[in-house]
Amino acid sequence: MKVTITVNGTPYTRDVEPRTLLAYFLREHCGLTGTHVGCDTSSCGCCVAVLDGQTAVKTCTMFAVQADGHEILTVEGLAAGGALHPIQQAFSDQHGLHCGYCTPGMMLTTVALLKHTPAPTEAQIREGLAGNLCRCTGYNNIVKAVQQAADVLRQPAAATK
Amino acid sequence: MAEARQVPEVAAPAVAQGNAAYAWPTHPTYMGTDVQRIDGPDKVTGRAKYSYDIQRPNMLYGRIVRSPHPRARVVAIDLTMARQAPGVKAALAVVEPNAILMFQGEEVAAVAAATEEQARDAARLVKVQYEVLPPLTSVEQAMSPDAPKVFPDGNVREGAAEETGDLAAGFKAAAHVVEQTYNTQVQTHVSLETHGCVCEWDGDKLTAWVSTQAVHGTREGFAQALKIPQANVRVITQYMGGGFGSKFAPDAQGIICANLAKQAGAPVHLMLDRKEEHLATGNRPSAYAKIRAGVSADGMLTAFDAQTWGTGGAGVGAGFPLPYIYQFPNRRRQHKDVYINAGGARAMRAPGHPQGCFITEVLMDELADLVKLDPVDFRMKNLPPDAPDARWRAYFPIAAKLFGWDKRHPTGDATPGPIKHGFGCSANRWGGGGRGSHAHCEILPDGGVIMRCGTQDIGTGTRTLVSIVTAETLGLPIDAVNTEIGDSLYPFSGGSGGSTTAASVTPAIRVTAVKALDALKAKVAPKLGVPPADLVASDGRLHARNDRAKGMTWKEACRTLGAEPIAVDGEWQPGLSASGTSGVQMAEVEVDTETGVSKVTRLVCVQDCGLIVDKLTAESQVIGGVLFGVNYALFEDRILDRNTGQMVNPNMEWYLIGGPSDVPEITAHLVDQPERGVIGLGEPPAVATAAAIANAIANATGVRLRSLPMTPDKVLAALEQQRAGGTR
Amino acid sequence: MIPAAFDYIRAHSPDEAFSHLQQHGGDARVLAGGQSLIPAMRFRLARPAVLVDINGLADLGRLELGRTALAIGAIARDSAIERAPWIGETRWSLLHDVSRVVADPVVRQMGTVVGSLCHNDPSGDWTAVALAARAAVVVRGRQGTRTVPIDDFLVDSFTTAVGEGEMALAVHFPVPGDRTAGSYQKVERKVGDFATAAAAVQVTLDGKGAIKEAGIALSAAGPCAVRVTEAEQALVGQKPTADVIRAAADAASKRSEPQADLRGSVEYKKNLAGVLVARGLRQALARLGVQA
Repeated sequence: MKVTITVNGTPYTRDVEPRTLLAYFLREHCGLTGTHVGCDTSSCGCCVAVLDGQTAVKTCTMFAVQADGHEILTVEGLAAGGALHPIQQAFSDQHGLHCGYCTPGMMLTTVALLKHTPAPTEAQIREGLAGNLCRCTGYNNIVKAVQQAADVLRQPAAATK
Repeated sequence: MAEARQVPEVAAPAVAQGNAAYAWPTHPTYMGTDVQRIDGPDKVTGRAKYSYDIQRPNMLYGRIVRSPHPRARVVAIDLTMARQAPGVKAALAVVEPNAILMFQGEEVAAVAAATEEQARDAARLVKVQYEVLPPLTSVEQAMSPDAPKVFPDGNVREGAAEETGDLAAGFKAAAHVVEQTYNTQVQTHVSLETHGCVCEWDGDKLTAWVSTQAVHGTREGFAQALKIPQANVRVITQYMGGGFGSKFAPDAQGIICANLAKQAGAPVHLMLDRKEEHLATGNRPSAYAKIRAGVSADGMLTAFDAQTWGTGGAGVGAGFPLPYIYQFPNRRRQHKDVYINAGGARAMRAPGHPQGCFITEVLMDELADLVKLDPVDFRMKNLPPDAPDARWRAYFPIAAKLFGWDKRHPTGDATPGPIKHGFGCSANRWGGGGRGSHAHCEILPDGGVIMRCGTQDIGTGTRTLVSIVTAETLGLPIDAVNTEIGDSLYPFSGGSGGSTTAASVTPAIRVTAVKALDALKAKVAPKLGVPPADLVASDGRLHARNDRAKGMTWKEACRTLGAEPIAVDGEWQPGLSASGTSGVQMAEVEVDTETGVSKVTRLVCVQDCGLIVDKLTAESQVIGGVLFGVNYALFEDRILDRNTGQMVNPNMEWYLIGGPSDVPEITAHLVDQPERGVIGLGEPPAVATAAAIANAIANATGVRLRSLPMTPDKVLAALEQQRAGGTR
Repeated sequence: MIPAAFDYIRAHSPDEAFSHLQQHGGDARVLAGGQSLIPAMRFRLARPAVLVDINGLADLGRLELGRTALAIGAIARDSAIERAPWIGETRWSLLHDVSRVVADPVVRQMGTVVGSLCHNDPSGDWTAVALAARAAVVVRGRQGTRTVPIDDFLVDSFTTAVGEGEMALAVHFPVPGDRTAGSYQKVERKVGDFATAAAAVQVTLDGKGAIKEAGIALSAAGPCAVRVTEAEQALVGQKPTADVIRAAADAASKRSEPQADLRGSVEYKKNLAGVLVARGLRQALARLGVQA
């Protein structure tokens, strides 16, 4: 099936099998390998991307054909004009990563989380990221990173981000 | 059959014996401070390419066909239909007919096709005929006298008894004796990036992007298995998504991938899925201990007598240290490795120690209860003598203060209501230490600096440490250093295991950077009219030690090189690193005695690691290690079906890893020991957590869990048994 | 893991979706949130030949709060309930609770309430909630649409009253009376896991403080979620006391017929059912200002 999916602002028109999962579409058809896959059971959250600017989705649990005509944001599209997105900056600043394999999914989940909960408490951050697993960091610094990002995004100057 | 790939222990002194020529700076700019990870920006933008992310022109996708049976004889393998399937470019049998397969997930055949979907479809078309043989599915079964003899040298390998002191006298001196059985489960590594690689041939030369903790060891592994010179193999690991001890070699899948790529004449991407990962890429062995232990009326340990056993799967040992840390003057231990038909164990974050720690530390609390001593006081009485690598006497009080241990109530929270709180403590030790790393440094005429080392960053921050030490030594900003690692073309460095990477790599970098700087000083000295030995590099300048004005900027200094860069080799030297760490952990839990659910609400970890290179990454290693321990304590458990021997939970839905809301904030208190040199840290923090949590649960509920993981149903069953007046 | 091949049809109207389902019968499945179906397909536990995607049917994504019922459309996400403006009202506390513990917060952004009911997993969350709240599912069939009470809708594990070629359009939750509160109590091994055991509780008090209506249901307590009629009977007409709650809890334990699995033994789960019903009742009553 021919689909056109706008990924990070760029339309990608590709011929795919209906069973092609969105994660593999992004990785293998678009060459955007920042979206990782860590499990087969929708458990780990490494593959999270944002659908239509609002919804965090596990791209291993969505078919590419479902995203036809929609917009997807992946880790490669977070930085605008060379400057890191406040969420990226925060994960880097606060050391919210070790091996970094889970990081794209963590950040994209955070995008949707902060859209709906702009000033989260620590508990809300931990609950909001409960669908994303990390095997390295112990989560402390991931929580701090989300707090920093929330603080920055709430500043008026960042409101346009 | 293979032994577990254990990282060799490093024989090194507990305190670095001075190395005047290359001594660590006494007033460092960066070392020991919070330095941000240099690869953070690459990791948050998706620029960091893991082996899983490598895409090559015309790349195919490989898929392995594995035995669904824990024990079987291969009767026939038919690749015909698979070869004819759409997109298939290679297919091969991994074993010959009549081969005996010894675990579920053992490799049988493989295919490569144009897409991942096609490869999976084709793998389903490989027809394998098995003669299913009865498996050994549990240690109990394997140890029973009427078990079939599955392993050529017997299902059980009994080691020699270890005995010290006079056991009978020890028990005679005991006022109380505990007699209990303890056990820990099999844990799998669950690296988020699975094992695997991309293999590409250029004639008879192989390039492999491998998710590995050892680029050089993996090069050697490919060369041996493929019978080609090591010089024809290049292994690259720029970024890897965790290994925890399970990724030191090409493994079967690496060799299969190389062979598929050869057969297809195209690069092949072969990464395992989560099920394969659980079945075939290693685990932490189980441990069982039947112990009799005695304590005197005044709280001194007197005797310890243990029979221990455990399984590392098919033909792999299950050793662990016991008793752990504390001094039993009279002791005996008899250990058996039990083999079953399951994937073999591999090194896993502090191999053996979490098992030995859990068993000993839970026993210690039981003994403390009998003599009515506070667990910390009881431990303090029975610790080995203080030493640089044995600092628990100092750390228990530090942890107690940080944690508020004085608010601990006696065993059994008397507060009304179903929710009970409790405190627990435990201690850990580990080796660490360094050896044998090499590096190469170039100082370029334009001022650029390149430091190359064939180590790899498995997520711990090694890349950042290399930059820190280079920048520190050359007096430059950290971002002025180009650090190049993760490639077997670079100078040899060993595998990243045993918490030896920092202590191996940073001395090599220090030596190499000093040598490079010396070479630059020799060039610059005549121009400044200052003897080379009087020159120092700091703040981006080379200048006379006592006269900052008498100098030049780094760039000016480098310009004096003309066309020829400085290029020097260096290697690890003794005197900059040491071995032996100690640590203490304390946990608070909240146990719901109606549901059995235990929640860890607080964790404090006091840990040393010698000289701290980067405080930020070091602290984060500690926090991550403690999380590993929380998962071991409460969640993780590889479960085999008692009848079929097949793994019941080979995924991440039923094999549980705690998420951010399942674990508490973890407090890491690092003890800096600059006088000891660099030691290493990855493993020790993961050791003591489960024991501390177990002791906290007992303190909360008054019932003791002697088996990991401490799941809600186990907690509730123990409470029921107590209510029924059962064993206590 | 990658599913077996299938044909994909994107529906542009409910009529079109229905006609495709009619045409393909048992070979076709509706694709809503996909959070249960797609994993099942990846493990090839489900192998539909045709998927009819209804995600484009915006009308089916609405939450409509009417005078007598809350209608949740077939593609309304769990997260829409979680964020609904009225979700903080005491009368909706059962829905409030469940909307925060279904799967994990990312899965909830795609997963749907109606999809969860149609999937009818023995350990699902919405099924027990729908029983306790006495919901009904609107099903479109060859004879037009019909409203199926939830008790009749849940037939057996992974089986519902939605027949071949039919589709569920919405679930209707009756708007609870003024003095109504609920509670959803779930024990899970970790966040994101299915329930080890769960209890959905909803009670309405009359003017004198007696229990006028009660809905009590369990998840992970049998082939599919189960209403504990004996518990409801023990409650209705009674003043809420510790004894009454204990009677309801005991009835729940007795009624629970769970499967032993890695989450716990039969005894453990049966016991939990009672514990959770008692807790749910106490919490629901506390929300109404009643200590029992």
